[in-house]
This record gives sequence, C-alpha cells and structure tokens, in this order.
Amino acid sequence: MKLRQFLPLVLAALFAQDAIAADVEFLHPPAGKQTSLSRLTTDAGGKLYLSWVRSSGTRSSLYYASLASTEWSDATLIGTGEDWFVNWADFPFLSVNDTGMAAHWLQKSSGGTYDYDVVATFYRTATAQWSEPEIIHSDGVSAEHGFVSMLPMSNGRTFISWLDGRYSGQSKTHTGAHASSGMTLRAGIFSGEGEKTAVWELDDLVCDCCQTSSAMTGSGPVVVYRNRTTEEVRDTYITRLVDGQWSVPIAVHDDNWQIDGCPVNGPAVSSGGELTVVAWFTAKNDYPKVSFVLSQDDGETFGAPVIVAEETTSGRISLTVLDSGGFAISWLETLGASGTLKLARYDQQGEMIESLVIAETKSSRRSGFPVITSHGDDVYVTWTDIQEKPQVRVARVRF
Amino acid sequence: MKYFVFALALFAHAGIVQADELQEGEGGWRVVNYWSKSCAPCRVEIPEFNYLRDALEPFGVSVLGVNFDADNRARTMQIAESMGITFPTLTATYIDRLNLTPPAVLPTTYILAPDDTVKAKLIGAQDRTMVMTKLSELGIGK
Repeated sequence: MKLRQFLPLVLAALFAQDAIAADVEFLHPPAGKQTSLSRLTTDAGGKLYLSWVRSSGTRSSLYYASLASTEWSDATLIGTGEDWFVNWADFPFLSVNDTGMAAHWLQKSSGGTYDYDVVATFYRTATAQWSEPEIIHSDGVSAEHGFVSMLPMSNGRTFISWLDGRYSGQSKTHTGAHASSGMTLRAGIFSGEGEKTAVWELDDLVCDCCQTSSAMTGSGPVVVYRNRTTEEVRDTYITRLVDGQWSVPIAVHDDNWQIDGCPVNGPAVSSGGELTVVAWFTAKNDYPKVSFVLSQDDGETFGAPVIVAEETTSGRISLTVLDSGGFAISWLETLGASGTLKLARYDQQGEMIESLVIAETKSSRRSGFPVITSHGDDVYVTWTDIQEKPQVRVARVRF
Repeated sequence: MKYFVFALALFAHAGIVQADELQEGEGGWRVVNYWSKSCAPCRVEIPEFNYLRDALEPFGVSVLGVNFDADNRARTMQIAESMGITFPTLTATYIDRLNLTPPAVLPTTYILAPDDTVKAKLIGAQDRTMVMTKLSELGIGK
C-alpha cells in the first residue's frame, strides 16, 4: 500500500463534518433499568440535576439525583402513582431555584379517557420536604393539560408554562370552523410553597401536542411554542413578559407550515448574556428541517434562520447557551428504524464550530426526547437507551 | 369517473362483507395508519379507517395501524381498544421489517405496495374519500 492510497481517507477524516474535537465522557447516573423520560438542569452553582421516571407495571415514579464534580447523589423519590399519564413526548420537569425545587407530572383526570392534569410539587431546602402535589390549573375541566416548561426565578419562585385544553372540547374535529376553541397556552408564577402568584393566558389557539419552552432573558421570561392558526399554519412563535405585560406573540420565522395534524416536535429557547436562541423543527412539503434564529434584543427581533439539519432529521431538539457566548443544539437524525443523537456547537454569530455524534439510538418514540443543559462550556446530554431494557444515559461534552 | 366507480363498489361492499382477520405477514397493498392516543385528529379519523378496513378488504387492500408512541404490545392493544380501533395494529417486529421512518406529523398514513415500497404518504387527518381517491389514483380497485 502506498501512502497516496490512504490520502483520500485521511483527508475525509480531517474534514468530516462530525469530526470529534470535543471530549465526550459517559457518566453513570443512579438510574437503573426501566427508566426513561429524563431531563437535566443545573443550579446557579453549577450542580447538575437529573430527573427520570421509573416504570414498574402500572406504577410510575419520578426520581432525581444530583452530580457534584464526579459524584452522583443517591436517587431520591419525588412522587409516585398508578394514575399518571406517561408519554414519551410530554414528561416531567424538574426546576432548581435559589431556595428549593419544583417538579411536575401528569395525572389522569377521572372525567375522560384522554384527559389529564398538570400536578406540581415544590421542595423547600429549609424544610427538606416536598409539598403536597396539587393541580396547577384551576379550570376544573376534564381535558388535556401538559407540555410543561419550568424556569427558576428569584426568591424561590418558579415560572411554569403549559398547554391547557379547557376549551378544546369543540375543536376535536380539527376543522377550521371550531379551531378558535382549541388548545390554549398558559403560564403562571408560583412561590416556593406552590402558591400561584400570577397566571395568564398567553395564546388562545396553539398546536395541541408540541412542547413549550421558556428562558429568562435580560428583559424577563419568554415562552416559545408551536402556534396554530385557523388555517392550520403551525409555525414557531414567541411571547415575552416585559414590564409586567405579555407581548403579542410573533413568529420567529414564517415557515408557513400548514398541516391538519400534530408534529409532536416543539421548539426550544435558551438565553444568556446578550444572546437569545430559538431552534425548531419543520417538515413543510414533507421535507424535515431543524433551524435556529438568533436575537440580540431578548427575543424582540430575530435574524435570518440557519439550518442545522435537514432531510434525515426527525427533530426532537434541545438547546443551551454557553457561558463563552456560543450555544449548543442537539437533535435526532433518523433513517428507517435507526437513529443518531447529534450535538453541534455554534459561536454567537451562528457559525458552526463543530458537530459530533453522542450516541447511536433508535428512531422509535421510546428513545424519547434527548435534553441538554450546560454549565460554563460543558454540555450535559441525557437520553434513553432502548437497546435492551430502557435506561437513562448521561454524557458530558467538554469543548 | 374511475374513482366514482371504485367508490360505488366500495360503498356497496361496506357492511355486507365480513373480512377475514388479516395476517400481518401477508403482502398485498396496505394502508398503514400511524395513530397516537394523545393525538386528537387521530381519534377523529379512526372511524374512517375502521370503515375502510371492511370496505377495502374485497379489493385485496388491508388497513393496518401503528401506535406512534411505540408502547409495549399489551399496552398498545389496550389503547387500541380504548380508541375503538377495529383494524389490526402492527407488532414492533412487523414495523421494523417495513423499515418506515416514523412520520413527522400525526396522523400520517402510508400506502404500501406488495413489495413494501411506499406509494403514497397522506399527511394529516384523512377521511374515507381522501384515502379511496389516492388508491384510485394508484390504480387500485380497477
């Protein structure tokens, strides 16, 4: 073999899009088999928190553990029940603030086969106790409620956004004639004891089955979500709480994706310093794409969209702004039954620095929605490995 | 006109033909409907596919379902029953064999030829007329 015969391979390796310059370390959380639906968050000090659901027969249990340096804490039970609505796309949140934590799960309502409520519990570090779980919405209507996003606020408060189907009973034909009474987007602020101190309806017609996402910008909280018009256009919108008033929701970009259906693929938002990033999935004309837009004014205006992945992506995105000013996005590539969890890092101008494969997985919904978070420039990734029994995995990527 | 004749034939057969239970492994033309318990438009279109299951059987076209949420088999069958689904729900093994990329939108319905190739992809909620129109365009039912 002569050297020149290897040259194409060497060059290909050097210039491969997925060249790995980052250091990927697989961590080993105290979540065993039959676990899934994991999320990650960090507190202000950089401690990592992992939440997950363990399933055993009809019983579901929500746990969390924290990682300080290299040591995981023991798994701690937050809540358990046999009447939970467990769904691969709509799953519990854990949020950590300056005086405690907040967590939620979905609990089936008694009134309808497909109806469930958002139940939350609040932890005070001072008392080391979780509060009695309570339904966070006060409509009393048996309907679909879910797709929660949480955001820590000062003084032990938690911002929570959710989809609320209290008026959706008439919209289930999914015809434009009834669409004005469809799924709504709501949000509230809750004290450390779980008392609702504010609540708003942010949009009276949104897509029924996509996740909401929220972030704290320099101007206040923002919520992004998949909107729904009476013409069934389902693009990504943002609304901002500024000086006590929610802004009129606007599209982050006009994809004009018109579908009489549910993508089950919500957008993500993250903010840090001067930068706010929104990423989302579309499949207009049956051509899937993951894109992002950048804002330098806390989500009031956005630049042109940048495509992260296309053609073979199935979305399931997550997003985090890094301390250095750039950001990272994760998404799923799929081909038939196979899936690949990918992560890319961008600078604050939206130029890609590097892209890497985190794990080979499956396109099956049982592999769930991977979630990323960061501390400094370290990115943490969690997903569900379904090669054998479902099991939560965590990796740390050091750029 | 072709569609009209096909539709008449289908309506004539509906309700009077007792279709045998489809064996998943059989080939033939298949209408494969992805559904989810948490998808409102899926629940709306289920009666249409229940109807088509019986109406299309005399033409050698099977109507099959896939639980988009990929719950285990026992849970899937429990959900299918609760949703009133009367057409067969595919097993994970059969779904893997088809090697279909999961759809980006729910509901989505594929029309598969006997050799498993995808001949049509119907995105969003469908009714019986929309499905029969597509089958007619594909030359099925002539």
